[in-house]
Amino acid sequence: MPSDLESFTENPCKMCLPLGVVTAVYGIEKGMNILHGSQGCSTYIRRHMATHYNEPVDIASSSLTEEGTVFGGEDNLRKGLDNLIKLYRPELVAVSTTCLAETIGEDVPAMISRYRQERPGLETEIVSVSSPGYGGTQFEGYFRALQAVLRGLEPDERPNSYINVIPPPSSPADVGALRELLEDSGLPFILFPDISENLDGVYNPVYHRLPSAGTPVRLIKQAAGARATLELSLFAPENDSPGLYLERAHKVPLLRLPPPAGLRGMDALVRALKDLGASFPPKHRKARGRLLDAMCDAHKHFALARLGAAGDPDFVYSLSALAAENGVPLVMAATGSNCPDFSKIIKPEQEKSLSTLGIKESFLRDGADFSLISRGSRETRVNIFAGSSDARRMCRELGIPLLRLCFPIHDHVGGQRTRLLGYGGSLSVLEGLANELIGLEAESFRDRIKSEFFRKPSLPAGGGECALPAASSPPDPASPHPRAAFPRADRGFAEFPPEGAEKSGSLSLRELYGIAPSGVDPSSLHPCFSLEASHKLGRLHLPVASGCNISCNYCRRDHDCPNESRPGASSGLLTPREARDRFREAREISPALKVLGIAGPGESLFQAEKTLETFELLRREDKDLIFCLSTNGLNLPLHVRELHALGLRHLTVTVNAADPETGSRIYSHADYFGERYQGVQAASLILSNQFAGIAMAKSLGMTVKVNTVLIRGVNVSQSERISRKALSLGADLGNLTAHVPLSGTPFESVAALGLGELRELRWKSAAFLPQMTHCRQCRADAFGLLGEDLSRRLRAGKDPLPKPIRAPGISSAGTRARPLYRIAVASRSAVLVDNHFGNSERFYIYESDGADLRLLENRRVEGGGACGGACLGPEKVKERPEGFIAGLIDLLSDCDGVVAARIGESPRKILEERGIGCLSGYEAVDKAVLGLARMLGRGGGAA
Amino acid sequence: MDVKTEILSKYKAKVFKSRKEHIVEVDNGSEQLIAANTRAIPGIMTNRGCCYAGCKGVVLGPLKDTVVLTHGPIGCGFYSWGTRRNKARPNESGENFVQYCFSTDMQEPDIVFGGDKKLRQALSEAYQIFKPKRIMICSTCPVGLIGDDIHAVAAWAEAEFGIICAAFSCEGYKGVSQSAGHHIANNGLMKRIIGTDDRRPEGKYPVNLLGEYNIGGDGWETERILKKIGYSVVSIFTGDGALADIARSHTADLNLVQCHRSINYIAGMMKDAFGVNWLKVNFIGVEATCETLRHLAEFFGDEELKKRTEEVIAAELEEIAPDMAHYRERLSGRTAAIFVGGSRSHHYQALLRDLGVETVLAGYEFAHRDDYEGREVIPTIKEDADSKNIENLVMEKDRRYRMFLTPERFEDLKKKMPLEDYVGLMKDMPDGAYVVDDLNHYETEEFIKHLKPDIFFSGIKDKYVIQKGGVLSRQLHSYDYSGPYSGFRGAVLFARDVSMGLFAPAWKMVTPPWAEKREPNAGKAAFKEAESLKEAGDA
Repeated sequence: MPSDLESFTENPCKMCLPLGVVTAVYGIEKGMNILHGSQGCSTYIRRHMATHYNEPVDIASSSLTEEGTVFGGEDNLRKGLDNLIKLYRPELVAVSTTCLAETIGEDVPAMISRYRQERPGLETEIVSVSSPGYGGTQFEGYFRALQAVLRGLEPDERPNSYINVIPPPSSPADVGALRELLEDSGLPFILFPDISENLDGVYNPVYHRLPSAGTPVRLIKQAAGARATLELSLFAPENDSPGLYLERAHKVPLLRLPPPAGLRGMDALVRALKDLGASFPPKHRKARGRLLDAMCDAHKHFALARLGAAGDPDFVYSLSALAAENGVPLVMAATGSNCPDFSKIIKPEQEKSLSTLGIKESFLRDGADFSLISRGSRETRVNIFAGSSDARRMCRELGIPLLRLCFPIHDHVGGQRTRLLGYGGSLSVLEGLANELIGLEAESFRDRIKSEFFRKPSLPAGGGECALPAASSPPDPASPHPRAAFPRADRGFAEFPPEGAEKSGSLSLRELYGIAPSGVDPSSLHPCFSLEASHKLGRLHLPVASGCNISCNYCRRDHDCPNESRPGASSGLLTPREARDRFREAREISPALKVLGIAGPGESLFQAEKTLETFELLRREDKDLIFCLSTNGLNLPLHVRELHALGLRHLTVTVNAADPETGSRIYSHADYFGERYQGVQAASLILSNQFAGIAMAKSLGMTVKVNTVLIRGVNVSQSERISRKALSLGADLGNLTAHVPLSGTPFESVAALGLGELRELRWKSAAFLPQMTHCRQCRADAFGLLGEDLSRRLRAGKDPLPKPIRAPGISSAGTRARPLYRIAVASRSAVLVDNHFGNSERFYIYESDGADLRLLENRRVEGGGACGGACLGPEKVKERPEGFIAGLIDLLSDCDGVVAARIGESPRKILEERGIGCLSGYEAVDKAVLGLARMLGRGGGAA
Repeated sequence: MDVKTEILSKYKAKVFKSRKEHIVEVDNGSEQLIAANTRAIPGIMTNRGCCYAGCKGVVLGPLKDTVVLTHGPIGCGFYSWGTRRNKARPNESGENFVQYCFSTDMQEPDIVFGGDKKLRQALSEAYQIFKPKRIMICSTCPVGLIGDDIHAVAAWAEAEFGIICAAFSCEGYKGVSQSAGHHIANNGLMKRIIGTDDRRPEGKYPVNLLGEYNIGGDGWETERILKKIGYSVVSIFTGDGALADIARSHTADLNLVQCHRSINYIAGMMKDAFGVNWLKVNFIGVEATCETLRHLAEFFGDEELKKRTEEVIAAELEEIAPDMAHYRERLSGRTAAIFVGGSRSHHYQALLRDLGVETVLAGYEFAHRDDYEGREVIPTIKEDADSKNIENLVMEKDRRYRMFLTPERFEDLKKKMPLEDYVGLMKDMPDGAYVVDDLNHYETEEFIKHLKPDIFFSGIKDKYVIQKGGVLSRQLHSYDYSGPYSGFRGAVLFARDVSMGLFAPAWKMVTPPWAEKREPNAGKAAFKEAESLKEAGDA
């Protein structure tokens, strides 16, 4: 699925083979490169290497044009060699092929031998390297060049006392440190290649056109007679490995060692050299001691990391070794090369690095591009990244710091002097890492402590005295908060906050749960995403979307059932233009209207053009509107960018399963690009698009809520997994809801989840993903504040008197351990009990067990609003129809209790006679409902 | 022996013969010819790139509303990723593909069995992820050789996804430099994009900005000035540009041509097909910018516009006057060498003149003779095999052809400004200066030795060669991650950067404590000394 694509590479994490060849040959004394092909290859590679190394990089080209391409390039190559040799007088020239030369089938070895024959007495060695760009990456190219040079030179097999040492692709500074170690060992050695000076020169007014340092050609010839070869790479491909070649062709014993990174890696090299007779001056012992000392000093910081790394396989291995021996959780490791052994070799190190803290998430891949690496980093919540400067775009998007440690580094100076290998190199990486982590911690410390210890008392969002989960649970050591310290520059919240909707003193859910706000928290402005805003900002759902591309077993999409306040229900479909008109109308009624949502009645992205057009029209009405959208996610990846472009910042995706098997029990089919998928296939498709869509939305900076409809016996056991998955994709908020059993659906007879159960599940999930606890399961055309559906005011025609509904399976009190009570509340605002019984135009009907509550409906009172009580004085008494109170009481006859600011004596009496409990007082709605429910539970009645 | 002969003397006879035609000592008294746009000599470090670099890297790469997909092995796509510093803001719908690199990453089996299947698949995936409205496919060397029909695949994608998809066969081996790629890109834009949207721009004086790639934000400074005066910029080719705008570029009244080399084909073709006049402009340099602005006002002939132009010029000049005076004082009397692209070596001489810096050597990487000698030589340029291989489109008058100027007024204006004309680099240079085409590595060193410029403007590939020799080198391809250098404010930034480089304290500290005698402190003197040491060593 997206970002794990077969044919489309988005932001590559690898370069082509000739770049590796050229780098290796740069480590040969008086060695020169000529690429046989179009001159662009040389120019591009020169440009990239010069920018990284801040050094001149000379690569000749045979400058093939169309003529050479058609008739063969031998003439060009001959001229190229002539000119190169005359002007530069190199000791060795490596002729490397390119895509072009290989595709037209140039026989370079034959050309070279003809060239030599024509020029007897030629002193320059010429070797050929077959290096088509499509044959691999720079990593393989590096080793292939070394082997080709060994093959191309006449070997001197006479035994000598040299030790061949083959470093992995690394920085000149690392190679220099390696050479110093070898020099100090007292052993004669051939370090091949040695780029330490050629690609890290000093200021020297005498410019040497030829690489004047590096491995001398005469020594390379003697490699065939050396005592042994130490190849410091775990991934050099068998066909390209210079060490294997020397062993097979010239019987030079080969010892393959890991790159000498970290204590164990470097110890292994030192031990191997000692076995060969080396003895080292005390400075290396001290260097080891210093590294160990630094590891002890800095260890406490490493646990803060969730490290990601990408680069050459040996580079990533080096980091994994360092991570393993320092307890730095390496959650994400990837290479761009196709390297079959990559995962196998790195996995044990990665596991070691994660084991201390018991971190489960990890990501490990070869053949990855940056879109995949970015996904992996998101999934595993990487908070610091090590790699090349190509990772900078991704890191900026993720808001994490980047340690630039491997080729290419184009946006910093000093690429030639990055360190990784040896005791000293490891020390420098570790300290760099520790200091970044300290910086992260320091920047986020205040926010975190503030939110953990100095949080204001919060609004209970459900169970009265039940403690909020994050307040009492200790911070998870594996998920530090430093992410929050980085402003996410690319999120593009430029249009927020809208005027007059600034965040007030109270807390958003993010803060409530101890998650420090990142910059402007747009969630605080949206009623569905913030408890605070839910009482203040109106919202209008526009029913423009019809039809659906998936079929859920719990769903039945009826268009006209105005009494049902549940997703998918709506009183008729609007065209985008009608939707705009409805918005205008609604604005008249409620000027505070800020939030416009599309949630149905069908799937909002099934006929996405309607949704997009609606947003576009509305955007023209008011640029400050907050848009939200609810979708099943199947088509989300296709449209998320357009939606973002239209200013959508709040997205709700309904994810009902964590794996396709479970999904297949919920989704019966999916229609996608003209195909109908069923069963597990449908579920896989739906889930993968949901996940990809969420990740994409997050990368665009949207706030994402993940809704889950929990169905008893189907996916309830998965609620935690779903929340974790949502978190790993970056979702901001979860919303677990109980499914509403509807007749005519496959799940009609499955009992809905009880409020207590639901609360329990939410509580569990809230430990890691903030939960929306105030969901009212809105209609697709809801209007007004949450819990105050004014939509019927917008609809034409006379409002029918709502019939009492009783959701099947919910409220038959006898079957439950804790009885549920239905309580009517006289309120204007749905926040406070602020109306008198007889004066109320509407009642909010809640259901509560004393611990949690749920809004069932909003019941209108015909002719309401005229108070008959004496409480307001005789002049306020208005005419009201005869039998009004009796009718009112009849209207509430299905309820177990009534809450109002005041209730007259006679109505109270009648209510109590009918067994309906009463509570009066000026109180928050939720508190009052819970209080009355508890009272009723104890057998109480009035207060 | 004069400088030229001495430098050439090291070459083999054949190379000598070829290279001597590319090096000219300017003598404005006589008609001077230069050889250009010929094949690079193999084995000499040419700074030239390839056809793909010209097409994808230069012309198409900066388009922000377009997925530019490289069809080929990974290298070419990777190396052209973010290397040209062409800045772009996301457009209104939030699209900006400039930060991305897209490739089909062809592997060996694709070369053997054909890559069109993978290309098709990649297009589907690209569409699935990004839903782009436009995709441009650029091919690299092996694609042309194995015969993938990328144009057929593009047509398939158009039908399949209902998008605009065009393919560019810009294989690296075509032509002799990136110049071939410019031409191919120009042809493709003309055939497929320009003239596909007839909505007229709303503002007054609608113009297109051609050959402005917005390196380091140059285009933004230019646009700022144009908008301040009251022009409406319909489209920019192609820095911070969008195909959606280019589609309606034919509705503009005038094309402003900044980089003549890379975009003059479109200027010519739009004139032939739609009647849009073009004017050679230069927004590099304060004087040059003022002159260009006055030409523009004259072209439209509107008195109000002329008045506004003078007001803006006066205000802008006042703003930068103190800075420019300061830098001019510091830099005056210095000498420079410039070796870049196909137009900038000319443009930047104007800015250097503003600062009192004389250009002693200038050269182009991939220019044609008309860039050196002026447009009038075009009919005399002999076509060779390499240039014939690039399609030359002949445009017929479109039904929407309209003339903004009467023929009389056109002739009249032509006398006052470079209207549909380009003078050429050599004519703007003083006698005795050198002009070198496709300057290579060896010649660079030799010319530095002989001409001793204080500063050498070039690119990253020779920057460190020059700087190791003690001569300041600034990159004029990518501006050393600085910029903009265009217009009024850009000129100050440029002057600051050059001063910063020339007066860097490091140059004064090159003499080590163990040296017997103090090395002279100026950079070029250090270089001279080095050369004498080198010669002593060689002897």
